[in-house]
Amino acid sequence: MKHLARVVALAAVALLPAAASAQAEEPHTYRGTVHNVQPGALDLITGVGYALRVVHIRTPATTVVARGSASLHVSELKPGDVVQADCRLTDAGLIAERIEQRDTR
Amino acid sequence: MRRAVVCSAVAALGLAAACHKAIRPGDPLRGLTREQRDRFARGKAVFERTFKPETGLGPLFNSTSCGECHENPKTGGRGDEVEVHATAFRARVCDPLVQEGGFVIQEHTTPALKQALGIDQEPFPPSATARAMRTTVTVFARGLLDLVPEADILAYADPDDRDHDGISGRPNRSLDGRLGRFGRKAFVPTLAEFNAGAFVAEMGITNPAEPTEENIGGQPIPPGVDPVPDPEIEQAALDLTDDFVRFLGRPSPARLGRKGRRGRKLFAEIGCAACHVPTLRTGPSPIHALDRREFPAYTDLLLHDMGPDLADICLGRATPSEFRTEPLIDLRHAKNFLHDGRASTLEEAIAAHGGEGSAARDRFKAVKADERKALIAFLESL
Repeated sequence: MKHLARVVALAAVALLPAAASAQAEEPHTYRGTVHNVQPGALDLITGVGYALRVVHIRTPATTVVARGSASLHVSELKPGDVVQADCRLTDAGLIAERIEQRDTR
Repeated sequence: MRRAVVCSAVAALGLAAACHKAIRPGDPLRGLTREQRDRFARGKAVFERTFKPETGLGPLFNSTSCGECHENPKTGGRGDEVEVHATAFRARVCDPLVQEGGFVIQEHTTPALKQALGIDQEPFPPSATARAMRTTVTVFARGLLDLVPEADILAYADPDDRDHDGISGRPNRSLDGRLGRFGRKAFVPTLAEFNAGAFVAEMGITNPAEPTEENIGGQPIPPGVDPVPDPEIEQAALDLTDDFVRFLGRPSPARLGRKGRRGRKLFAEIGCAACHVPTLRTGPSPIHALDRREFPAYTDLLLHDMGPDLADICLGRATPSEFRTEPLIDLRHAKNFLHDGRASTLEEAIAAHGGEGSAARDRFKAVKADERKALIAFLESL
């Protein structure tokens, strides 16, 4: 019984960081207009009605950028482009996993 | 016998009048259920609720309640407040200056913010390339405008003027690319978003749809200045406000006499109706009173270039000279006209139309004085 309790406790300790990490890295999706593009990051303007906000998103080399079926480089995005950014919230901030440029003519 | 006939006729007329009872400004839509009327009344109370710093007001704000501005002739109507907006238009891209506090410039501060920063209003954004004055519009019939199908609006668009009538019309888009329909530049897609955004931008009241305050000219809010936890109103209050605005009826246009009818005909003949589309129809809605309803809208909800004299700020895809066709609703209670209130009469407002509106303006000027009066009489009936 004592052994079982120890195993459970150890398992809990081992799983805790993973659970915390999963909580910290919850997925976030933003739709908005590109405000500016910098090396390794972009600012997206999002918001409701007249209350707008800027979201800073990191774009590491692993970030996939696409327009329909075509692949883009993040530097091809420009201010005014409408995008959907699927991100992870990490301790280092928002990291984009995929950015999809949307056609809104 | 003759007296009985007269009585019957009077009774029948009374009954007919009751069946077609006019909607007055501030009245709810006809055909709401008892539960919807109850929500309308409770939502009106939230709309008229005066916020204070201890209930979430500010720290920057333009007004202490929705009803403080939207008040004439009844709650939900126009107001005499004029607010300031500012954006930057560079290389044909519009910057709403979010990092400098956003494009709505709040003209008041709470005592705590004034004490902390020594400011009476939000600093004007230094990067702005233009300033705009904005009068308070009526919100009557916004629930109907909210439900006009997107395809119907787009059907009026002619961005390249393929029919060569001098009128193009194109939709604005929200930041996430949806069709815009609310606001002087049609920047906001839905009524719910317009209301949620207005709570924050106009009163500094955070809510579940917009749970964070704006910054103060790009700087964070000083600690302790805004102690009420966010969101400062709950979803239920936001929903009630939405229902109040959504259920506000379109005030019935006045009955037209011969002159007014002539004016209505002229309105179409000289080309006003090309943008101020007289009738729109809502799409399907679970709310019977809003379900597939035709209503006098006098707008196409599209952007039109109104010429350099009216130009001010960009917003979304709207260039400085593009404005959404203003719905002509409850004009008879308006004291000033156009987006910035520069016109004090309808004649002045028509004369100020430029760009895509200039041909209709010139035709208005060219008709005889009594015809111009007839058209004004028609507009004053709306």
